[in-house]
Amino acid sequence: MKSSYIRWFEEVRKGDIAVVGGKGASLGELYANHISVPNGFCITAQAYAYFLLAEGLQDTIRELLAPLDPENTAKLEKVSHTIQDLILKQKFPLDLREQIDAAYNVLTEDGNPFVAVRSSATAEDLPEASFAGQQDTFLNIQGIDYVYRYVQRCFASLFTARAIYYRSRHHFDHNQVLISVVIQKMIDARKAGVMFTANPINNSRDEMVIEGAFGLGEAVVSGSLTPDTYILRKTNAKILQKHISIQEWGLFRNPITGITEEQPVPHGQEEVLTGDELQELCALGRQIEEHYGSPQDIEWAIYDKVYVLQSRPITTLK
Amino acid sequence: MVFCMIPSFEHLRTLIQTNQWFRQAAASRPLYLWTPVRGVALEVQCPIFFFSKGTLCEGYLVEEVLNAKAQAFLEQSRHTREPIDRYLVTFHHIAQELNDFFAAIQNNPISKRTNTEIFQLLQTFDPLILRFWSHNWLCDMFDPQGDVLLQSELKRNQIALSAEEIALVTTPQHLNFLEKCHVDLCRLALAICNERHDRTDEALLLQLISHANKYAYVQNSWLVVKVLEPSDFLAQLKELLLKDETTLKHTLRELEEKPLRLLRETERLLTSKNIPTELRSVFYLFTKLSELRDVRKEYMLQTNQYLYQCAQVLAERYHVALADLLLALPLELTEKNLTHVEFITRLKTRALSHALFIDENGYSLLEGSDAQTLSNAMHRAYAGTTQELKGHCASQGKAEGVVRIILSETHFSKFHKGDVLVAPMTRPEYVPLMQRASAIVTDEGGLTSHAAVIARELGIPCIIGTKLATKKLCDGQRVEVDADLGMVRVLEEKT
Repeated sequence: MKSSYIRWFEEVRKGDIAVVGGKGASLGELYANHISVPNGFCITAQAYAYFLLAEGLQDTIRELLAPLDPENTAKLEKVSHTIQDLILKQKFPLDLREQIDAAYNVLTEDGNPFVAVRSSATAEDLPEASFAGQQDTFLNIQGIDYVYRYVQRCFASLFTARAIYYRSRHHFDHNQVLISVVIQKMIDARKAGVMFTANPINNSRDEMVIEGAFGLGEAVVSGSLTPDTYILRKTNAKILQKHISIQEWGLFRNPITGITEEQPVPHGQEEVLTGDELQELCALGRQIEEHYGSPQDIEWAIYDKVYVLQSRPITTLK
Repeated sequence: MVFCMIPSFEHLRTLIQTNQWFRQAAASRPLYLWTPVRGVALEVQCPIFFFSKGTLCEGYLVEEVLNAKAQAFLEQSRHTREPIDRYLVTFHHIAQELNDFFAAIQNNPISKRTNTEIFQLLQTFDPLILRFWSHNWLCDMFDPQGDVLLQSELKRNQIALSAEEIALVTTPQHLNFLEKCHVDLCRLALAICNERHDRTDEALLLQLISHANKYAYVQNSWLVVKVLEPSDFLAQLKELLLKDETTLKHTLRELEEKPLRLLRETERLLTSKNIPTELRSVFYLFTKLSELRDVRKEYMLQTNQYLYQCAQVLAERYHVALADLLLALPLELTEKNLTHVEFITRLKTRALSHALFIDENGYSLLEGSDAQTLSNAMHRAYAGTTQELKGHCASQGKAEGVVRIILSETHFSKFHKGDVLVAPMTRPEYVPLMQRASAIVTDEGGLTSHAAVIARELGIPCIIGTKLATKKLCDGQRVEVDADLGMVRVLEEKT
């Protein structure tokens, strides 16, 4: 019987946002269209609802939130804390657990235990949550116990003080907002970054922007380091402008502890991307844009080849 | 120039505080940079501070001196090409000396030399490097104000040119070393085609030996030396050999004719815009300055390679760490020093922090905590005196407002509507602040970073990648953020 709690990427299409959230749906769609997306599965929004229902957590949360005045900041912080704590301590129902265990075992049967755990919202409830990779993403997670812990962290992120405040002010029902979590094979990126298939500065659809740094792409997304920037002509990948930045550090997996950490980059003054890689990225960007029919904001990573980690429409083009 | 007594700390501090400094930074090693910096001092004739920490090297020069020299040279060059042509004749003369020296090294590889021969080589090499760097710094004098000077020359002549047109009339019109390397490889491919040579890898590698020898340095940098082998060029050669003879000839011609093509294009533009001779000489000056930069790099990359190889061989033979030797002055690499434990210990303290100060009396070296104190004083002074800050445009527009430096959520309460948000980077929690900001300026980040995306979403100007905004700007300053130019100007100090 097909599980309603787990969906593999190959079973997901772009219309499945209510089940696997925006991020999950987009990854499934790319996977189905043979774009090289690292494989993975989604813990569905229904699994989250079941997690809350099974031990009556949903009612407790409702009772805690009902009398809350969102303008009372101290009280708000306290309630937010209590709810997040409850979610983190709540055990997974056994049948849900079995399905997640099985899926994780299949995903890691090649012997590589590292995965990324990413939350995938089913509704754009927080305006800032819609932006680039800013929902919770946990990298280089290893072992099923840690997977559970970070899935719970993703669940709990629906109840930060800011999230509760925003929903209260806009009269959204706290119990109607669901979340899905993506578990995806981790690419131990040598270099990674972001590509916009249109130039968001001058709104030109004939140009694209590629930014890259050594190590994981999260540092580019957050802006904690300054990446190399290329502006290319979309049709032939001709470089129109480039800005090379000395990269003093990057995010890498520590080979011993397995934890993601900032490490110095000894060859940081070199250009991150080769001409061939730029060509390949540009072609990939064109392909994805063509598939969706609109300019895309794409996260990519390079290990043995180029992988696409995420794609979504550019929000600001005029 | 001599190694002098360390001037008093107070003297150095006053010097730092009473001048406005121009900063240049690079990832490098003292072994490569000490001598060039001393050479620069000879040419610029102003006090210079040089700081090094890890692989980050910074040089500070008195900005006023640079600008005055650039201005004077420009004024002399308005009607005649003579000043820059004369400068280049001397430059090429000195470069030739260095070139002869390189040839001599290649004839007798460093790894095959005795220790004494290597020490002697360094003693001869260092003065040559010094001389070379004391005569090629003209281009750098135009660094702080070059764009402004060029714009005012255009204005003087009542000529308006677009950014692209300016780029064309000041672009180097020669083949740089990377292009020359490619041209030579094309020629080699063509010869192999013509003579129907054997195309096995072994045969091609033999053909590549002299090419690799000639261009072994092209992937070096100020930081890293990577001596290229014939095998490093093999893939590129094989790719060229996939083309037929006619295509190869065409590619080669395209490359070789690039300077001529640029010259013609420039000439067409100059004629169509009716550019007066006065301005033509100025454009010529800027073109030559960019060429000077290219050529200088070619020599620098080779110099670094030989210095690195000397250090490498000595490190092995004297059982000291190569990383330590990269912190030495070339002239310090002597038999006496290398066998002295104290010297090696001293080099290790340099890894943490060290400073070089140069003035008309000579140069002096500070190590450890002294260097750190001085470098801190410089960073503070530099932050205080600078009136402009440059970065990259991430969202267009122009705005004025009061600077608020936000390093964490604890700073949120000081932010008012209409302020300019200045931060190392932004995070989702910053969005409520960003919504009230008139503009955003960050130290780090690219066009796809969080700050950039949100600023575009909000339609407010945003400048990213300034590296220094949170250090150079202060709370309460009134600034203009001109994102299109990527420039923050201080309008009013804190009142």
